[in-house]
Amino acid sequence: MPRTSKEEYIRHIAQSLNLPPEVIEKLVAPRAEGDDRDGGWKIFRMVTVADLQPYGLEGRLAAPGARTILRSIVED
Amino acid sequence: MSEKKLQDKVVLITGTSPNIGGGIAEGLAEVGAKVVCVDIHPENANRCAAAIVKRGGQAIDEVCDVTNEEQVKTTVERAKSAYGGVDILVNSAVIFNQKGVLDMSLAEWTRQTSIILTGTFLFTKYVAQQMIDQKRQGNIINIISTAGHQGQPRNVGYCTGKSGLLNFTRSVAMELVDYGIRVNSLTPTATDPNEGIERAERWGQPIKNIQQLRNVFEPFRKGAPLRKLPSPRHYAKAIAFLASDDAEMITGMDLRVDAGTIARYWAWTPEN
Repeated sequence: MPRTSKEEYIRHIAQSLNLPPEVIEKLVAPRAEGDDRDGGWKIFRMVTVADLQPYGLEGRLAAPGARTILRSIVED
Repeated sequence: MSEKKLQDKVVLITGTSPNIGGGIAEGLAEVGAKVVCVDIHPENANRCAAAIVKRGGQAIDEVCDVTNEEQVKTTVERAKSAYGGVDILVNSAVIFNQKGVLDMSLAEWTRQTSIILTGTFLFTKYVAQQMIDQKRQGNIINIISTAGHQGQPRNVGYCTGKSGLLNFTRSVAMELVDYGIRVNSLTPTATDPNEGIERAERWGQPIKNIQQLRNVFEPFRKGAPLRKLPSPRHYAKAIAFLASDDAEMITGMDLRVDAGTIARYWAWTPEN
């Protein structure tokens, strides 16, 4: 997969999970040079309640499947 | 597929390995569907859903043994909790166990036919009921195989189960017409392995012995009238058609995406 911009990667994840891009941005890190999986970006940690509280979205983690999906794309 | 013909439709698909089921799931997500990825293996369900999410789609994963009625009921309820209900059910769950009537044990026969037939029965039962309760005029697509149309030797459980799904499709299609639910089947054939190899790599489940796998399918390619084998994306496009309004007058039908293999005259081999 060709490298994409960080903004585009964040936009995809935020759109899919219906979370603010500002939340997703805190979770994103670049992959190593030469590693173009997922456009060269990865989610390096799980979202926390503290991440979501400023937006009043802490309940989102309780939604069916949400926690599982987000954990599945974390590479820590 | 650039047209979002299934925008915001909810698809529940059973059997989401990186090959056919996962390819169908990703393909339907590309045309706008939200996908409930169901598999007995957590990594298949989870990585399928994760792959869709990473591409900007919406998906959740559900681990379920399709032969367990309580698990099926729970999975259908969880799909409703997550996305409001199911518009499209794709019954794709299967296991492979190539044995004949002489060497297959009763336990193996029962397990394989249960997954293919009973799994389809249970998911169809509970998804259809939910569709009826919600007055949702949905679609059900059952995945067959060219081995469900022809007598492949020493693959008796698979052949019988898949063949049974052909008439299951017709019977249920007639039963559900009054509710506006269409029921069709799709017949794939031996599938080009390259897309599945790429998907497995992308999902973090790389396949070993890739060349060996490619070699297995070369004889099938040579026997296909189109001289090439379909890929999972071709099946996804066909399912998107069957589930769309473009197919509103189609029910009880089997759509073959088989490169012409079933239509082929038995005494003719394309390479000759």
